Amino acid sequence: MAVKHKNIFLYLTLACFVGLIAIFIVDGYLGVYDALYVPMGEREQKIEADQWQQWSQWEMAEVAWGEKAFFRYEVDNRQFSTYSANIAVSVWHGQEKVRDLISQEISIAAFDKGQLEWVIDTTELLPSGIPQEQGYEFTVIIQRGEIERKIIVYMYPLVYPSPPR
Amino acid sequence: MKLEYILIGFGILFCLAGIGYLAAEYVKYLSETGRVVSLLLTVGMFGFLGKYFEGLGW
Repeated sequence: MAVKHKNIFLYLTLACFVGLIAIFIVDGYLGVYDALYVPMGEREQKIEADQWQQWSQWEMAEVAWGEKAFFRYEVDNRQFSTYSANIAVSVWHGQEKVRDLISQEISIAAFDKGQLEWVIDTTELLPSGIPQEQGYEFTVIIQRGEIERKIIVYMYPLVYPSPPR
Repeated sequence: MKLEYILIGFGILFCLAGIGYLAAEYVKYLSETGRVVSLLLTVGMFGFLGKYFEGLGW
């Protein structure tokens, strides 16, 4: 009886271990995950699946005034079936849509990745009359099925106002 | 008997390394519920392991 009782704890330990592995595989690995590569001046930064909340509230992509901003959106399908969704990308400013960039149906095979690329020419987005010394912000909204991702892009000025004399 | 303990020790080390690797790689993808359940299972795992070794007379 004592031997049986002793082994019960070992079996319970193993059960917890198997449970942990199962959670990591089912909840942690399986699913559909997306990542976005955004411009940060001359660098490119990856926004990973766990950073969307932080990026929609605090972080900003950066592009110089009048330059082109390159974006790459990656969808990782870690499911046993093909994943299909419509991806629509649009640019917004002040709660108003400025323009639609992409609207495309994607179909990704099981355990495969798909990606979309687009370029925003910032000169086409700027309203007339804004001086080059002034920064400007716009929002890129990515709609994938029912999921919406928001990224704020800051256009930093190349010309700074001369200090007052 | 000593060899058994060494093997058990290696087994535990590999298990911990595996859990550590999975945690480092995939904990960011876990839902809040998954994280809580994982934490409870980890606590349970170490607790039961402690009771097992206590039963062995360690």
